[in-house]
Formats: sequence, structure tokens, C-alpha cells
Amino acid sequence: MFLFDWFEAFLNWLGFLKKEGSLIIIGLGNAGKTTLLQVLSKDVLKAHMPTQRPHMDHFVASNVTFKAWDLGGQQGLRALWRNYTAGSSDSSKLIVIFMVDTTDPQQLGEAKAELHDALEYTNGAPMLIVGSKIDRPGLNREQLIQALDLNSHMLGLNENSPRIMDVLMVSSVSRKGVPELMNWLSKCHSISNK
Amino acid sequence: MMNFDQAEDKDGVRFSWNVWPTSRVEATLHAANERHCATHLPVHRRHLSARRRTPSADRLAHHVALAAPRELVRRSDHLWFDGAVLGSPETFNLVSKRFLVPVGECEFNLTSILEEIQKDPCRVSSDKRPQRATGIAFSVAASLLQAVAPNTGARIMAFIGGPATVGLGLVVGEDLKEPIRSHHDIIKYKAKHSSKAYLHYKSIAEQAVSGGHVIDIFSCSLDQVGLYEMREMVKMTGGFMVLADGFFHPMFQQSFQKIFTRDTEHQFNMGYNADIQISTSRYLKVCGAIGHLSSLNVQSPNVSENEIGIGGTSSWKVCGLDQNSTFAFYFEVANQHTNPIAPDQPGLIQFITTYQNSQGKRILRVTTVRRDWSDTANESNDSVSMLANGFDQETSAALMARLAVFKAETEELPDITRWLDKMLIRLVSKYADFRKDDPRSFKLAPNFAIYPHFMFHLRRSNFLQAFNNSPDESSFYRFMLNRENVSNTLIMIQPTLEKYSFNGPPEPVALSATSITSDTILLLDTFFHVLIFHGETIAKWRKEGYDKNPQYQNFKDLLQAPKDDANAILRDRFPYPRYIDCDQHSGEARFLLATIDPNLTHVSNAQQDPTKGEVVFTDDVNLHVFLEHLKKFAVQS
Repeated sequence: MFLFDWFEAFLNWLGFLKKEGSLIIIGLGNAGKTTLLQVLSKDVLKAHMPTQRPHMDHFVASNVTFKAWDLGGQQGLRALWRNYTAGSSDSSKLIVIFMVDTTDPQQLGEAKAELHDALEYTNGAPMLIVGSKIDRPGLNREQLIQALDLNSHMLGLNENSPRIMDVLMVSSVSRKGVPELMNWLSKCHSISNK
Repeated sequence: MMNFDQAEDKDGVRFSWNVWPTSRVEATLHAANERHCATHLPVHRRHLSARRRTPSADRLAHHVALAAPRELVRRSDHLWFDGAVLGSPETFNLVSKRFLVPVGECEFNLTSILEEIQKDPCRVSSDKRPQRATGIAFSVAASLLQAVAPNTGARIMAFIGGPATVGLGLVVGEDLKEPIRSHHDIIKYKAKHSSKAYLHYKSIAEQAVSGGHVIDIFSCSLDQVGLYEMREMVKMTGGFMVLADGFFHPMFQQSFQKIFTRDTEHQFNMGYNADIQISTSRYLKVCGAIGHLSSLNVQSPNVSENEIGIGGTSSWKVCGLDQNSTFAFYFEVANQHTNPIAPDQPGLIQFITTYQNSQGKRILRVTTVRRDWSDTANESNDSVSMLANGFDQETSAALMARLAVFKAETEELPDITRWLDKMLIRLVSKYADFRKDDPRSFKLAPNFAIYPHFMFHLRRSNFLQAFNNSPDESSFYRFMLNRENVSNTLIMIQPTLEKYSFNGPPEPVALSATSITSDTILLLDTFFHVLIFHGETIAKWRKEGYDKNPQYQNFKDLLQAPKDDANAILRDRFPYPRYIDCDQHSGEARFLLATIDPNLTHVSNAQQDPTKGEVVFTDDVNLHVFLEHLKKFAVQS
């Protein structure tokens, strides 16, 4: 097995093999996780039922193929988030997306609590907070950072920070911010796989 | 027009076509392999179908509970009865009659064992899944039954709280770092354990079928448990499949209790170890069956070479039957165009069913149905209109849905959608009234008119769309489609929507975005979900407490009416559906928004008027556009 791993690493270095990344998408119910995943993977906008069971789809961002788990945000399903991040400490490839509905101020407190919990149990995996539904009136990026109490964190794609963390704003309906999100993911993947 | 429901009530049989053509039209196309059915005639042109409903059957003979959590077994222990033989999980490694006794003799011991069962004290490390040897447990249970009750009605009930992680039949490793397989992995042949596990469970299914035994699976977990791999055990034996969020969720508890409902004579509504044999009169051949049955490989002369579903036989085994069990059979007319059928040769199909009731008695039921041949006497136009009159669009939709789902086992979903479209275009271009190349002249007779609507909803249903579904969920939905009668199948394909308002009694409304208004309440039934949806204004009044004010009794009544109707559905439905009570613009309202025809979207209608519908954020095609395309293709010369 060692030889094969070495060989694969060598091919990767030469750029022959497509790079693979894994992603989990979490956040409260109705934050827009499933809708975003379908926009990323199929570039199609659809109305979805609330997710009942974790499901996975894949998409390509620059040269990286991401396998993304959409974990469902209903209360009961949140217990599963930990399971899907287990082992993230030694798998540097995992990136966590935490989605927040910017048009729903009533849910922000709960989102903040879940996010700070997730920051604990995801063991330093890169965390991208995505503010969704920006085609409608709602919080802007600064207000979202404030509301989620992220001021003390170093935000941005910085190799030197102890943990990569950032806040991006997207709309799955208008696709605003989606290219930037894809770009961010592939860059983050290459930084954390250096 | 013919009354198809009446015939159904009388015989328990419904056909897609109730007048039969006298020849294999375009016989050359017909000979092609079923896999290339795109080049075929519409399936319903040649294949007639029937459904069977079992009469209420009696008590079960043997009953093995497999590793049932204590809570639920205790809840149900009043359900056991004298004929039952019970094995506890501890005895599963000892396959011997010595370890099985009638429930009367062991009730005390059994109850105390169940009382004493404790949670497994072994702690599972946070990066591991619990060890589950579900595959082995099934093996042992099936062998045990094979030894004690060969060829006798019996069932294995499996209560599963997580995926098999060890031994034969494992679907995912113990390490949480390894995620369970997804649709994507399965399509790309990258699901590490799936095919091996599938074969393991299928071999258990075959063993159970040979012994006449049923396997039920109660999947009670928020994550997948491997229903995808285990599905054949339930499908092939005619068992129950329940997909619930947990053991304490009503979707499990209510479903489980419903299984043990007794009829007026205090008998269970179940039949066991059945076989269904089909005889046909001359010129008719049976292509196959789709439903929860297994082939008995009886190659009688009336078996068609053209296999549809589980074919190559005229007899099937059904290990478990209940009042909802419905089977689709596909037939073809095997006659040359040049050979007229004499009027004294009726078209007959006979269903010969034997099953065992719970007292061990074998019951034989024979149903013979007759349908007329279309008059072939040269005026071909008349012949077509006779055939058209006999078209039952509801049954046809149910049969096509079963066929589509059957294909989903081996073919990719986009291909199936294209195939459905092609079949639909062929059907309407043959039976619609139109001038060539003039879409505006296109007209369908009433008994064809809503068939395209069914196809529209079927294409976008969970049966044929995998996104936002795990393999376990897809397996469950498809399983249920193959179990229910025509009317329930139609609810699954095109859910029903009922409107409650101050302007009159409740009325059914179109399943579309324009039916959502702020001053009404809607009741949605998708078969799997029952949802009450309060329009914005109604929700506001309720939050302000108007229903508690005696002055507004009519508002209170309005709130109550859909609840009563929902309860009536919940009472009868099996498995117990997900019940949702929600308001417009809430997260749960998405159950409705994802189901309706999006005839108002963010693109098409920028102006939103809350009294005229709700805008859906989607790129999806709506029914109107779908029908316009259909007309265009149908009239093309």
C-alpha cells in the first residue's frame, strides 16, 4: 500500500490525477444548504423538501473534485453533524461549510450557538461561513460577522492563521457569490494540502 | 365511458386497456428486446394489466422477532398469541427446534428476558460506529425459520437502528471517517461494500422465499441503515418496509401497531406463503409481473418471450400478503394481424391464488375476468376509437410508474425520464385529435386528458429524482410504489391538495403555486407526508388568538376542519406518514413548495400578489410548458 500511496502522490504532484476534496455542509434548517449544493453540482435551481437523511453529491471547483455531504439542519439531524466530522483532525482535506440564512434574524442566535459548537468539534478543519439568500433584503457581511460573534477570529484565506476561516455571501437564486465560493474552496484545498 | 372503479370493486382487478387489440400491431418492433423499448409501441398498447387485492387474511402462523428493542416489544406484547413461536436473539446461534416453544409456554420467561435487557454497556469510541452484525443476524434468523417452519407461513421482523458494520452484509466500516455510500458512489461503482452486501441479503431473500417466509424491515434512524442493500429481502418476500426517524417516532410506533390490527372476527389481516398463477385464453400471453413477489419459474405455453418485470413464468410466489398488496401483471396479444379472432373466443384472464391463513388453513381464490376484443372488421378508425374508449388513464399511470421504477434498478434516471417522454408522445400522437403540425388543434379525450399530468409529476417525483435523497430513501419510496393499489399510487405520483376557506366547503385544488393563497388553509397528502399549510393571514389570526374568541367560532372551525381530515388519513395510512403542521413562509412549507407545479416562479412572475399564489424559486419546467412541448412533439408529422 505504501508504494501505491507514494505513486499516487507522485502523480498528483505531476498534476495527472484530479485532486479530491471533501466537504460537509451544515447549518440550521432552511438555510439553503441543499439548494446551494444543487447549484454547485448541477447549476440548477430547484425547490427542495427539507432534507430528511444526509446525502452526498459532487462538484468540480477549478481542478478539485469535491464530495459534499449535505447533512440536513432539522433539530434531530444536527446530532449527526459530529459523525460526519469525526476524524477531521487527521484528514486535512475536509472543509466545513456552515450556512446561515441572512434574511431570518430570529434564527441568528441559534445559528451562532451551533456554529460555535461546530468550531469546537471540527478540530481545526477549515470553516467557511456562508451567508445565503442575499438576493433578498437581509444582513450584509459585516452585520453577519457581528451577529455570529466572529470578530475575534482571523478571517480570510491565510496560510499562517491557526485555522482557516472566512465569511462569504451568496445567492443560489441569482448565483451571486457562487463563483467566488468555488474559487475559495479550491484555494483553501490547495493551502491545506500543502 | 366505462366505469373502471366498479369493475375494480367487483373483481379486485383493473386494466390499463379494457378493450383489447386483436393483433400485435407492428409486430416487428415488438420482437425487439425490451431494453430497447424506445423503439417500441407504447407499453400499454400491448400490455394489459391487472391488480389483485387479497381478501382479508387471518392470523399469522409463526412469528420471529429479531433483536427488537425492549421498549417496543413490551409495547406490543399483547399482540402475541397462542400460535406464535418466539426466538430471542440469544438463541440465534443454535438452530434447533429445542429452542423454540409456543408463546403460551414461554411468555413469562420471555417477558422477563425483555424486561431485563439493558443497553449495551460497551462504549463506542467517538470516531467509531457501533458494531452491528445485521447480515449475520438475518442469516441466522432465516436458517432458524427454515429449520422449524419450512414451507409454512412465518415472518422475520427486523428492527434496525443503524448500518451493519461487521461481518457478512456490512454496508459501511466501523470507522466514522469512512462515510456510507451515496447515489453518486453507487452510479460510479465506487460503493465499496454495496454489491457484496446486496448479494448477501439477496441470498437470504431467496432462502426465505423457498421456505415461504416474510422479512420485514423497520429502519429507525436519522441516518441510513443500508435499506438499499437489504431491499430484496423485503421486496422478494412481500414484507413490510418502514422508514422512520427513530424507535420513539410515531412513524415507527403507529406503523408497527397497525400491522397487528385485527378484523371483526379478531383475525389478523394477513396471508402467508401464497402463490399466484395466471391462466389466459388463446391469443393472450403474460410478459411478467412487477410487485413484491418472486418467480416460480413455471414456463407454461402462455408465457411470453417478451419479458417485462419479473417474467419468464406464469406463477409467482408471494410470501406475505395483506389488504394493500397489489401486483402489476403485464400481458401481450399474441396474434397475427391477418388472423381475425372469432367473436365466440372471448379474452379471458384467470388469477388463481392460494394462500395460508394464520390458522394454517390453505385458501384458494380464483378470479376470472373477461374483456372484449376490439372489432377488427376492417374500419381501422372504429377499432382505434373502441380501444381509446377502454383506456383507463389512472391504471396506466400506475403501471408506467411501476415499470419506470423497475427500470431504475438497472438504468440511469435521465434515460428513464427520456423513455417516459417518448412513450407519452407516442400514446398521445396516436389517440389525440389534431391536425398535423398544428399544436393548437391538439385535443385529448377526457379519459386521456390527465394522463400527461401524471407523467409530469412522476418525472419530478422522488421515485425518479435522486437529488436530496439518500439511496435508502429512494429504495423506500420505490418499494412503496410497488405495493399499493391504483388510487394510492396516484396519490404518490400526483399528491392531492385540498383547500379550506371561508368561502365555502373544502374543495380539491390544483397542485400548483397559484393554489397557495394567504387567506386559506391547504391540506397536502403525498402518501408519505400529510401537511397542513396555513396561509399567512390565517397564521397571523391564529397567532393573535382569534380562534379562542367565541365571536369567531367560524375561524376556530376553519382551523379544525383540515386537522380532522388529516387525522382520518393518518388513521388509515400504512406506513404512518410524516405529519407536518406549518405556516406559509416557514421552513416546513418547503414540503409543499417542492411538490407543487411551479407555475409561478421568480423568473416568470416578478409581481407577487399574495391572493394569487406564491412564487417558487426554481428553474424547473412547469406543467403548462411541459404540455405545450408535448403538443408540439405529438402533432409533428
